[in-house]
Amino acid sequence: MAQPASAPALARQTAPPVPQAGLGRFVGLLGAVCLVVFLAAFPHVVTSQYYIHLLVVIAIYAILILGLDIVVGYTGQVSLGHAGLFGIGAYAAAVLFLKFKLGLWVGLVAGIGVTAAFGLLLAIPALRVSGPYLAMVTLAFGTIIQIFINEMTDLTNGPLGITLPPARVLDFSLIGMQAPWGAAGRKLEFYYLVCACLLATIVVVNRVVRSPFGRAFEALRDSPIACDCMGVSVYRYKVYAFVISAALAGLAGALFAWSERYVAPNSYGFELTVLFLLAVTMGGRKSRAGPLIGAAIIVMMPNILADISLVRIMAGIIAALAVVVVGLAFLRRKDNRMSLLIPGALCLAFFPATLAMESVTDFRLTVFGLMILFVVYYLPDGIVGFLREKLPFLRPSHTGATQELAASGDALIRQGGRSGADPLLKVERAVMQFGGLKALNEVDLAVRPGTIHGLIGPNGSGKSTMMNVLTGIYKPTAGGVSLATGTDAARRLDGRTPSEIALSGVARTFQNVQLFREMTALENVLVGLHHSFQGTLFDAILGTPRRRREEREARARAMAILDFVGLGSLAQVEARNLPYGKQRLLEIGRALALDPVLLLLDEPAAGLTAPDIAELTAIIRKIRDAGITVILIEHHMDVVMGLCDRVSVLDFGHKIAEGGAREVQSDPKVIEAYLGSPVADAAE
Amino acid sequence: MQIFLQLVASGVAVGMIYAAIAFGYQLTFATSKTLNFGQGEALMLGALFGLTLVPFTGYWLMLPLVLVFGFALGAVVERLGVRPAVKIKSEYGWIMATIALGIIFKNVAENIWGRDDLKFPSPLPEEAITFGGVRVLPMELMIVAGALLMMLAVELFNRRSIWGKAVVATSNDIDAAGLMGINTQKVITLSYSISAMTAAFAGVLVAPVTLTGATMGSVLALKAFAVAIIGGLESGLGVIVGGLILGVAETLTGFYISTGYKDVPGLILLLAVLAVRPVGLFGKAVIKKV
Repeated sequence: MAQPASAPALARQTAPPVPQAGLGRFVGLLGAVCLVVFLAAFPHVVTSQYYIHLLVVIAIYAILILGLDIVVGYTGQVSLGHAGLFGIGAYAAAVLFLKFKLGLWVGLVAGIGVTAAFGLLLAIPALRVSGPYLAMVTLAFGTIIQIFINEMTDLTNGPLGITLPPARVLDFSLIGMQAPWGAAGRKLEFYYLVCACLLATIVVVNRVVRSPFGRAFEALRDSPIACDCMGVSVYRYKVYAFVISAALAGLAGALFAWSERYVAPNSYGFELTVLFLLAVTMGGRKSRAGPLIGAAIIVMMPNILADISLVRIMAGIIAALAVVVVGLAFLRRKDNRMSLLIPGALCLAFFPATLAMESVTDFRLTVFGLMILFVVYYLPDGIVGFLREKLPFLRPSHTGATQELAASGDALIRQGGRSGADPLLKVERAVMQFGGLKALNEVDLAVRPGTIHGLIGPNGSGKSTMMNVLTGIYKPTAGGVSLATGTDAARRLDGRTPSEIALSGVARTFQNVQLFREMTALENVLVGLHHSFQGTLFDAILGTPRRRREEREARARAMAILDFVGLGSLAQVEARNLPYGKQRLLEIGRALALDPVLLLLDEPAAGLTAPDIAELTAIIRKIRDAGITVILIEHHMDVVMGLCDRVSVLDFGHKIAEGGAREVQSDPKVIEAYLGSPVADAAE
Repeated sequence: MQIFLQLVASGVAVGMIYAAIAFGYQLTFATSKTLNFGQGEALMLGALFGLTLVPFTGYWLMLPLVLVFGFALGAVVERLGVRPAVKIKSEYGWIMATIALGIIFKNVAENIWGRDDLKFPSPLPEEAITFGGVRVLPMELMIVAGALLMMLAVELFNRRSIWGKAVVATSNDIDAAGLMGINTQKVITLSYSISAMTAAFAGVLVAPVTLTGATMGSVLALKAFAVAIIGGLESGLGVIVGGLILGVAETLTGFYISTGYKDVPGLILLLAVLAVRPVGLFGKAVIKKV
């Protein structure tokens, strides 16, 4: 149908160079070592309790923000409820002490557990919505939490709050000993506990986001529909993301309660949520360094704002920078010079404003608001994203380790289809009704195994609707779809979810390419291979041998598939940077990763150049020869005629013809459908 | 029974305010698929601006000035917060930007008018009128009438004026409207202006019966969103029904359970509706094309 106008232009682009691999991993490791050394040495260099406490708060916020990044950065959902989750964690720890005199350790476990449970609860309404709806749902959730904390006085002490004694991290008196590091060391126990929690969080988050779980999170952000059609349930992985994120928020909350030694309902309001989001965005999403930087900024900011002379100096610097940036934009006649005027003027005006003010503390939130606006428009990828853009060696290495892996196309496809005359896929009297319109009207379809079955018809004839019915995106109003795999009886497909259908062996591509844009070609295929992973979340967190073996095997297989569709050399390129023709092939490769018995191709040749089409038809033939049955929707008649063993023709939701390609082509009814002329005219 | 009717009557007045704000959400959502997360702050600024004007102009002359103020405020929010984000197609961007503008407005208001709640002079007598045992404040009647009148005015504007028709066209299909020569960018700005105007108007309506202050908007806006969801973000009748349901549910909760919990039913209802029927009770499910 609609051919992307920019497709030919894109196809002519040369493939971008494969990024340098290996260095990114090294930078990460170096950063981690620096962080450990810094955290370990800090209290011995800076002995002021005030600064140690400040660092503790930064670390605690960082734990929460690392978790928030899973939801915001990886799954791309806006959560305004994380301050509420933070509060639940804090209160879980504090209430346990208030009611049962249970100390820090039980509090931490309870904080994680209780908050994870609330994360699950929050995920239930959040599952079905996204974008602004989700933002409001989470905002409502946060508000409810605050109200309940305030009102349930019996449990939470209401607005008075709960005061806690100093935390006892290691209780040596239980085994009748003195602490080996003396009284001075005792004060640092809590500091080191928080640092350990922070480092553990970094390791856990790192492992989760690089596991199939992390890939699923990213996939559901880029294209929820494609994610479902790859057998990765959007539903389930949103829950995982929320629960992991909530558990970390709970850990942070419990630590915060013991670090401040006082909890009160008002500390966990909307403004805190906004601060957390500012930290994620400003630091830079999808990284470990970003949340650390973001946490440091939001904790330090109030201190900086409290010092008016410091603010004036900074405002002066900002104003000078604004003058330079705007000036340069005008000198170089940049396109955006007009749009820079307003923020430039605001930055300039800020400086005299600070000179006139005695204190900016009261305008703290205004400053935060301005920072959010600035970050959203001028630094959308945050500080880390900005640095990565400027300094290539900071970019993540993705998956350099498997660069040398390659394989031939042999034994690539596990033949699940079967031969024989009985149809593999059977559609019986399928009806799909949208309001008054029947997009499909009692259509029967029988696809024989091992064939390429064409589905053609003019625009609006119901081809794509059929595709969506077959893959579970639409539930047919009436009629049935069944798939006969192996030797078992045919299984009903209608009424199942897209991901269930995908897992039973039906893979598809999309009319408008639906790749996971920010993931590499290899990672896209790995999402298709998601079904081959048996490892649980704990395997991912602990990095068990099973997890590593599965990852190795999956990567080898993914490389083999990429080679099969001719993309082996582009494995490390992000999908959005691939030329259009290659994106189409990658989509087919990703679908093949599902080990399908039936592959549905929705206009695979749309927008392709002639050489691309030749490559495509060769690949489709190879796929059929490997034993996979193909259903092909296509407008390029030469492709259809050259490939299809059998063709069904749809028109206005009815099947008007079926048979061999040539046979259908000369059918008067088909000619009428396409040319709109009466049968008699066409025959003459 | 008497008490119950009394509660229903007060609930209706509150509910109409929610409906008026929710109506504003619908206006912008229809044209641009975005919402102003600072809608509550537009209401609050409207009320506080009105409060400042009242000593000079009196209540009735203040109303048109507040409408103009709200109109301008909406345009500012759209230009600063929404337009750049829509241009870069960032959902996260406009959500964060409107939230940011909201907290800036709130913070500025706190610094101008202080943190304490203020009393808004009532233009009507504060003596309650009794209808068959149910006491109703004249101001409550005015809230219901004012909110309905305003929604009616916007509907008339949409149906009768050329700009209103452009708004409707843009809501139906923004690309097609653009191709027909409608300046959809301006239409979106206009819808934000009208949206903030309705919020500011709702602010001066509600101010005499509640207290007025920098924080008055946040909770109102959240509950108005619940109303918009319950009614469906596409349905004009939906918000009125949703507003009434929520307003009454709240006064009943406040009386029979505890005033502390009176904000809870709206939010629970919001979560429940989204969990069961995300398009709202009056909304139509959209078929997504892939």
